[in-house]
Amino acid sequence: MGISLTIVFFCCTALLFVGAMTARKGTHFWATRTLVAGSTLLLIGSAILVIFGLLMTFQNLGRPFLLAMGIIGYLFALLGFLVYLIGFFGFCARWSATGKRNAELMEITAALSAAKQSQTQTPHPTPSS
Amino acid sequence: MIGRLIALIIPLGIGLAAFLAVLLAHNGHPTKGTWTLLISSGAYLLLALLSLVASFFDFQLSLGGDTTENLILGLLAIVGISIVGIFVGAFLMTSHWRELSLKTADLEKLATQLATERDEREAQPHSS
Repeated sequence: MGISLTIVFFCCTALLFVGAMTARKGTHFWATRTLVAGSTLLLIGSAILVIFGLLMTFQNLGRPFLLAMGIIGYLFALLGFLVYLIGFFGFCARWSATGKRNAELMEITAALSAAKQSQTQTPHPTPSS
Repeated sequence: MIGRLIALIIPLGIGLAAFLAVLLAHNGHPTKGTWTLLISSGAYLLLALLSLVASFFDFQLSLGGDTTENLILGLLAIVGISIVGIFVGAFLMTSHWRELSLKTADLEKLATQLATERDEREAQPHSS
């Protein structure tokens, strides 16, 4: 049960990592960098925990080594979670501002395009002789 | 008791802050990702709040062995699903960011170009 939950956690953190790397390809700012850093730490932490779980199940290694590995994995995962959370708050704020700006710009470009079209269609008045 | 309360308040606080952040994002530009996050974080928040209230009042269920066990398992399943939903929602949102930000940048350029053309047209002297 424990190892399967850890594997599910690893898959979820891999999803976060892929999402953060995709977000980098858009407008790159402090929050996307923080998301990448946080998701990387989460992925490393969850990978260590998966290895820790497998070693606990199938190998008979010394307790201090396994304990150290488990603690390191949890610390990485916790730090990664906090860093990701900070990045996510900044990301949501920027998302909101960009979404509203996007809607504004669509209205502006529609109005400007309509004005351009009506101006090009209106014939110039011919002067009377 | 106090340790238990603190252990419940911290996840509740984080869940509430995350929910408000997602609500702000959803208000700006709603997508599948924001909807998924909103529903998942809302469910998580509700369950965290219920746990805190139950812990505060030292609430003990006495519905009978199997019913209580099934209820707890059901609640745990909802927590698990909501947490997976949060991960999926975060993935959907972050992968949509590229499209949103690049589209907005293109619209900025287009709007600037159209505004410049309009100003040029208005500045042109009418032929006599």
